[in-house]
Amino acid sequence: MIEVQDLTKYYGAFLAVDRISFEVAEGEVVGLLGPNGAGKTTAIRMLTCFMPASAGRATVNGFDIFSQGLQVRESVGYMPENVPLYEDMRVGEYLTFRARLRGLGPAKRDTRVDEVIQRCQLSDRRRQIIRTLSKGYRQRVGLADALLADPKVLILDEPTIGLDPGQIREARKLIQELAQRHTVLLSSHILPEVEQVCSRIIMLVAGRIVANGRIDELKGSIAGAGATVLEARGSDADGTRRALAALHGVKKVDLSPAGESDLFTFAIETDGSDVREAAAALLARRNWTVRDLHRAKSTLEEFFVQKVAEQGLFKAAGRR
Amino acid sequence: MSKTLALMNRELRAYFYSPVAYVALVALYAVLAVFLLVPGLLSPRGYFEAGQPAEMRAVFDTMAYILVFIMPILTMRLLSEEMNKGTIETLMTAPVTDTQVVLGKYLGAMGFYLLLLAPSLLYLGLLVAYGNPDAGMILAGYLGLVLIGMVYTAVGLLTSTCTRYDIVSAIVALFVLGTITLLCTVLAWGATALRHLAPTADWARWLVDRLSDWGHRFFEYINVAKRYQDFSQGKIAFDDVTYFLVVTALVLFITVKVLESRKWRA
Repeated sequence: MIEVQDLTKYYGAFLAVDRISFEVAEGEVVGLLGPNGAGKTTAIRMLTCFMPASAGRATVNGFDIFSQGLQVRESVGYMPENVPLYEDMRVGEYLTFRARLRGLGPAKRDTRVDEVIQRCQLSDRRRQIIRTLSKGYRQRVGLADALLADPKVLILDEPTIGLDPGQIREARKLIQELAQRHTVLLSSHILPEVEQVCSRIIMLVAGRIVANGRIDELKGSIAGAGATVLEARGSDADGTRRALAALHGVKKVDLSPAGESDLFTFAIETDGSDVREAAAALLARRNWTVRDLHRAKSTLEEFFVQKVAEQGLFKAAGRR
Repeated sequence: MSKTLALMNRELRAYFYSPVAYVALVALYAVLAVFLLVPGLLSPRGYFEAGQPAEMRAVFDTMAYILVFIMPILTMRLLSEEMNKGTIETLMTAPVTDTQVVLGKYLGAMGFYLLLLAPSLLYLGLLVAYGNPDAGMILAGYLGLVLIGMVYTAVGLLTSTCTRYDIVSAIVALFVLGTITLLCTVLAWGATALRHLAPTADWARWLVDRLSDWGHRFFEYINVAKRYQDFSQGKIAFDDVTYFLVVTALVLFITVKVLESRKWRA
């Protein structure tokens, strides 16, 4: 559905997007992830033909973004970041106008406007002036607009930014429903959202793709994945640490005090095997009392932070 | 075509969402009324007093100059506001061409301009009721107003496409329109006045005469208001009509190119 090859964008001398390549297959929901200023919006603006690429090429629904811009725009429903709308129009009036711009004929126009208004739960706001809408409703109007022509591809830039938790949940549900009929590319820096909605993520840092894959795969790939955390009370902590390190499958054990004088935390790094029972048995033999023993689940957040830190570009990513 | 009309329709409505439309309407006719009704400004006893000829030439001429100040305000937000508020992104990512956007905006503004002219028909009604006006002359006058409005609107749309600040757009448009109307009139008059220097040396007199003559002709030639006066006097000349149409088409063409260039800059 979307194929991107070495897409590059310079703003003057500043390299905003650096030779990114990726594909989105039909029916996929892909999250474009990255810290602020990583180039997500720029990448999206190139794919929606709002601005041209400096180099590289991309096709959306089989149409080239450079030479077939009009066809690309016909097959994409796009909701820009912060959802710019004509403030002085009424919701229904605005959507009818947008339907005309998208080339919907008079007969189809009204039914489609009705459908998207239903879909995005805007029925009771139809006659309201957009300026007076709350952020959540504006977002819905933007989404309704993107859905008007029933496009094959939906591109949503930060669809839940600025919403309250209840609205975020609703938006997420809506996006999940939409995924059944459309190919979705959405950008976000809100991780739980991406995790719940997307089947795959592409992570951008400082204009480059640093990761591209299914979320569980990516989480598994981070260093220290599946570390076992042990909190226990007893004496001779260092001896216990050495004994733990000698267990089969253990690569490394870190010891740290856990607040009280005889309370310690051990972080056990393994080669992937489960050492929890062996560790418990060992502590029992050494007369230690176990307070907590679990395998740490690696989170997308850890992955995100690690990737950004790897790039050593926290600061560089902050500039635009 | 349908998309152009959709854009035109929205633009036309947008005028009435804000007070700008009503303020412009009131301003235009209030200033016009001052010129027409206050004795001594345009005619010794007021333009529409008994005994005056039943014609609207002064209405047309005065309007053309007042519009120099009003049209920049009516056109300033056409594209500047889209760029400033970011709605240009939703607009340009819809399947519309740059030409459709420019034409739609232009037709919307022209539509409002025509509505703006409509109340002047009241004057015509009064003339018909109490006098016997020359229909041809008045038709020519209205044709002239429409044509000069086409140029004014196109210039305003162009400046609005060049900047995201609507005030900048209005000021630049005012400057351009002021130059091709009022300033040219003043300069043409100034060129004629040059003759009064009347230097004594033959060669100097020859030079001053030439300068005065060419200067006058040049400023008359590029003066939009001057060409427009042919219409208000009841004369429809082929070259005048062509002039207005060509200038409008040229300015609109440049506007489309400027809008396109947005994609190639930065």
